[in-house]
Amino acid sequence: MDYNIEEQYDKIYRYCYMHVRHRQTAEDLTQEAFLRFLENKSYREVGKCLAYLYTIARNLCTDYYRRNKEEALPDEYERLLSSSAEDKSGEEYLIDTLDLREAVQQLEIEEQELLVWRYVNDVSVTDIAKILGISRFAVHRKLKSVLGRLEDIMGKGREH
Amino acid sequence: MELIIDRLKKQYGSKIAVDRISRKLTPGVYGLLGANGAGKTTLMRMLCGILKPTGGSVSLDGFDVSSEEYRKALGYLPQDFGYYPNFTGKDFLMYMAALKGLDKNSAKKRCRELLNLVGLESVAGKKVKTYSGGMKQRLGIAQALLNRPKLLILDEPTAGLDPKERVRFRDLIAELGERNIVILSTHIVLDIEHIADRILMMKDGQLIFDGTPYEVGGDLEHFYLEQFGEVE
Amino acid sequence: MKRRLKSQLKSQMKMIYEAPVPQGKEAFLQKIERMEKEEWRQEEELSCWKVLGIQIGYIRKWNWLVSVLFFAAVIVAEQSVKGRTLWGLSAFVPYLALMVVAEGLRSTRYRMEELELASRFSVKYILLARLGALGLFQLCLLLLLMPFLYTIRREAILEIGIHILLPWLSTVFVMFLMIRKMHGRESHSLCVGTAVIVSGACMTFGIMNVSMFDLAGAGVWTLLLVSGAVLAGREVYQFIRQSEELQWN
Repeated sequence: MDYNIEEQYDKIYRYCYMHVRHRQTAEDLTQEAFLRFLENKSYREVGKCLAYLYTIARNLCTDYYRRNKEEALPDEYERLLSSSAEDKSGEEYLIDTLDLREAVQQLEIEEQELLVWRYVNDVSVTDIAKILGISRFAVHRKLKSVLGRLEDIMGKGREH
Repeated sequence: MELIIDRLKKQYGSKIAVDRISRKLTPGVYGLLGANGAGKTTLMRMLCGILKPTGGSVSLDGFDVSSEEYRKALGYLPQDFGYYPNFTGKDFLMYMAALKGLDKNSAKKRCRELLNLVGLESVAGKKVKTYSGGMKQRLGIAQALLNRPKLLILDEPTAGLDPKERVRFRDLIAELGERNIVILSTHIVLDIEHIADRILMMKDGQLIFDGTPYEVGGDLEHFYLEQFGEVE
Repeated sequence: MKRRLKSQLKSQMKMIYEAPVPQGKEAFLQKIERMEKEEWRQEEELSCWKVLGIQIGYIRKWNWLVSVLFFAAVIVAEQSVKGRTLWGLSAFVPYLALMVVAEGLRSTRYRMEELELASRFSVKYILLARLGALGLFQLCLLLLLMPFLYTIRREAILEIGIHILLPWLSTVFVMFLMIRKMHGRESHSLCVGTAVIVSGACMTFGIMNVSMFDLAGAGVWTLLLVSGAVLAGREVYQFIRQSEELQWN
């Protein structure tokens, strides 16, 4: 199986998971996104049409939100919060992961999206620009502002 | 994927067979119910490009019904069809495959696949004139699937099938309906009840009901008879 | 400093946004792979010329055979029995035309039209293949006969041409006209009737030993030949054009 596709599956899955916080749903959405992508494009084109694939996934997640507004966030959220203690490896971090995790959760979903794209899935700025329909410059600005927000939140956190 | 039917009309002299029907269909199984003469077959023929409408249009994802793109995605099972004499089941499928543009190798593979799917692999080499009604119907279903259609139109597909074949057919349609648009017409209410995601009822060329089986409120048969005032 | 920050940010983000192991991945990826392979296979499709060719392949073999036999028989007959009038020849020709029409009508006769109409390629091509191929083949044979007969017989090339072509063209014309005007099964028998009548007329003239020119002048015949060609051509054209739609209900 193509190395590219498997990797992208994982990434899209992680992205959807960020939105819905539920394994099965995230997988369903990931698979649906791929299937819709393949209706119009060949699987060879995943690499060069990444923005398109993400856009489909993003729309699917939005639809999902709209349909499931009432549902409480699943308990996996709790699990994540509590597991933070085990994450700490021996390495010294300039930024405390626990602080970061909590700070990130305070961000808007759109801001978290950016972080996932840029720092987790290694999506290029060009592709992010395509997905959001803005210029590359605007993407850089947004990223900068999100990082700034994070710093603020963590700064405030440390004060307490 | 969307099938857009826009004010479709068919008129013969003073008789209006299909009266300005408009609908937008997305993937799923649609059951078209109606008495004989209600306009079901006329509507289906127009959806297949076999009959030219007197008014209105039909398009699939932007492609008009007269275009080759539309036909490429179409699979059709007419209510009644014949076969060239001396054709075996396999000959028939291969002929249809050629008409649908499949090259010989793909056609051979696909025919074998489909003959298996409809359970005719053992009689593929026998002449179609020796087939029972149910077998011929299954052959018809097979030919409709040759080109992996996105739009499948079946006119009275379960006529002549025995109960076991019916169940097999239902499962096949349910699976196809997940990603494709399947429109099947019948006057056998029971068949539609189990398979259809949506029910469209026709009377005198018009759609008098368009809803899910649940909206009908339980007994589809009762509802149907009420609408048509006739005994099945 | 900043770069280390960034790479740490990355690794920490990856940890934060880690998701539980997906379970349907393998099955799904395999399914996609299979789907892609199938799509790819469908790309190797037929051009419309190939479809024409395939349709021609479905024309019943004995149509070609009979046409050729007719051609051969004429040659043999002329070489062995001289002096026969051309009317005998003319009497056979309508049946050739009938064969072409019958081939074109097979879809209706065996109720395959609906299926054929819904298929990908325009039915025009199918009919064009059947009628065109067989018709042209016969026409060529007939045209070839003309010079051959001319060298053997006394008659002028015009006379030969009229005897051979006019019955063929007029039969074609009348048959297609009837098919167009009266759809349905009756047209089949009417076509046979036409062939019989034209053939009978020719045979009658032959038996009465009437010369073509006794009936009308060369000019008239020429006119008839040309109009026959035009009318026949028009009718066939209309027939093919109308084939796009189901003609009856």
